[in-house]
Amino acid sequence: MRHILRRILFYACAIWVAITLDFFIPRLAPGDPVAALVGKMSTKGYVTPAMQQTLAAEFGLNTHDSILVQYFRYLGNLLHGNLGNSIQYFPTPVFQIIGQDIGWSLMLGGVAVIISFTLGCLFGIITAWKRSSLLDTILSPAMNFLSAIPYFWLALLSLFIFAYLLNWFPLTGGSYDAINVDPGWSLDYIGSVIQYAFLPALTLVISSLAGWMLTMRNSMITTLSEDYVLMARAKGLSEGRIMFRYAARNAILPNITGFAIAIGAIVGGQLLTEMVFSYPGIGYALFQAVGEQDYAMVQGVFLIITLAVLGANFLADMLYAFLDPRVRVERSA
Amino acid sequence: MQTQEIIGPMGAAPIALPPTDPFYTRIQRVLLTIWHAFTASPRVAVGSAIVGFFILVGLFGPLFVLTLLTNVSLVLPALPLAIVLAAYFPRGPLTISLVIVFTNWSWQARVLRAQTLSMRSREFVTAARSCGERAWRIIFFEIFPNEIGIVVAGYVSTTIYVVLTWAALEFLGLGDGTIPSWGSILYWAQQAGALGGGLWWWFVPPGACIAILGAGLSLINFGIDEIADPRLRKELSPKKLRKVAA
Repeated sequence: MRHILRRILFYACAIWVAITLDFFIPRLAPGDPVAALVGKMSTKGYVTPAMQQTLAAEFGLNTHDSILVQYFRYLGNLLHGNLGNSIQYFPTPVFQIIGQDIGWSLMLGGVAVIISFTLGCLFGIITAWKRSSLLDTILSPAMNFLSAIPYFWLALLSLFIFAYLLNWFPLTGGSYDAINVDPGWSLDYIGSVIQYAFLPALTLVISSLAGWMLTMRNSMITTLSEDYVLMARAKGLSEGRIMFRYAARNAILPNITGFAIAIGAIVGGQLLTEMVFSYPGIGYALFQAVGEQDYAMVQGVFLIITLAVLGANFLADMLYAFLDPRVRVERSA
Repeated sequence: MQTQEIIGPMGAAPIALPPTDPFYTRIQRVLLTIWHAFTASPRVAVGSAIVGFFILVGLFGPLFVLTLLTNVSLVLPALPLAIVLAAYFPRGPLTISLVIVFTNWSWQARVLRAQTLSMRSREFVTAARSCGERAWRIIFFEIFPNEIGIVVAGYVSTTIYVVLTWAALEFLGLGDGTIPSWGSILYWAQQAGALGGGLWWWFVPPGACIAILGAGLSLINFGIDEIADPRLRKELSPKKLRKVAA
């Protein structure tokens, strides 16, 4: 119980730090956001001083309140779920845009993480069980090599080979073929969604597979030297039963926390994936907002990403405390 | 109510003068001035954060505060934070360096802290302490040499990570595009539509260079692991053993 309380306090502190950072970074930066905004708008037409005043007031940039008052007003807005209005898609509220994009990120990331976790753990179990066999000697170094390739280069390469050269997958971004297909539970739509999501998911799976496999393999090797595995063998149980029911169950613990953290990283919005493939998820939204200097959007997206990652880490801690009772007794580092 | 401008070190801050009683208004004026000077500018807010940090240290002890700082830094997502920081500050190599440092220092801190904690209770440390060795001497000349393996491996891993993150930030356009680097080559390749135009010779070489550098550094890391931890060294085959013995 004490352990859970300590973790809750810790995450409360981390959330507060994230919110405060999110508030202070734009205000600490040199330069004037109103001037940037006016500069952008003047490319589309003349901006009168009255319009400038309205814009500044709209985005809360003209207050002569002290920074503390602004801070508490910001906190108040957050509690009401008001993240401000986006500048690019004025006057759509940031919350709405995030709500639209987060679904795609979750779908892409969720599928990729589940596939790569399952495959990685399976490969890890098998290569640890049959250590130094042919499968192990080929797979382990190959996985090491794959994990060393920088992710976005792998993404660019796969886009080039499969989309440009072979034309199997679309080159331009999107989540489904908006021109030919309407959203709905039709085979066309689902097929289109799969076609647009296949390459990003494939690159995600390839790059993260090695991590899961190698962690699982190392943890299995340690578990296989335990006494209860020897006992199970002495009892005459079948190899498969020992492998899965005795060894893998205990070896999978580090990977389970890694899984919960990876789920958090999904909402963290596989930034690089979405940027290379122009997949309309939350990472792509952050990328566009940074490029267009849409400050409200950048702040909002960063906050959502951070809160999601912290939430997932918290769940991972709770899950680990539930699965491994020894953690509850140890002093947390 | 009339307002008056008070010129303080951070510039002018307007305060409202409350009416009537002279003694209390003077006190209020002084307090308001201090309050405004304290909160007038975001840079002062940073200063107050530093002061708050030292207050916490005084209350809870430096160990607790530093550990909390490390853990919180560890749990905040690095790449989104790096992107937001790099986006708001002037573009350039210095910004990117500082941003990467700010978001990634805590991993190595955590690893070394765990290792030092386990070393602290070893016999040679107790022996050194009972000889009257000073704390900093024990840390740097007794404990640290045992951790050199981790430190060097961490250094190489950090280098790989920094190269990848730098290229990623440049690719997103958050670095100075005019300064040539592998990441900025990829950025310009993306801007020019090299992918759609089939200009593979533009984006394949920089990525290949990053991949080869990363692979090379990983191999160096494996070598260091073997030196630091003799259990990982490959056992000599019988033929080689005979040669060594002869």
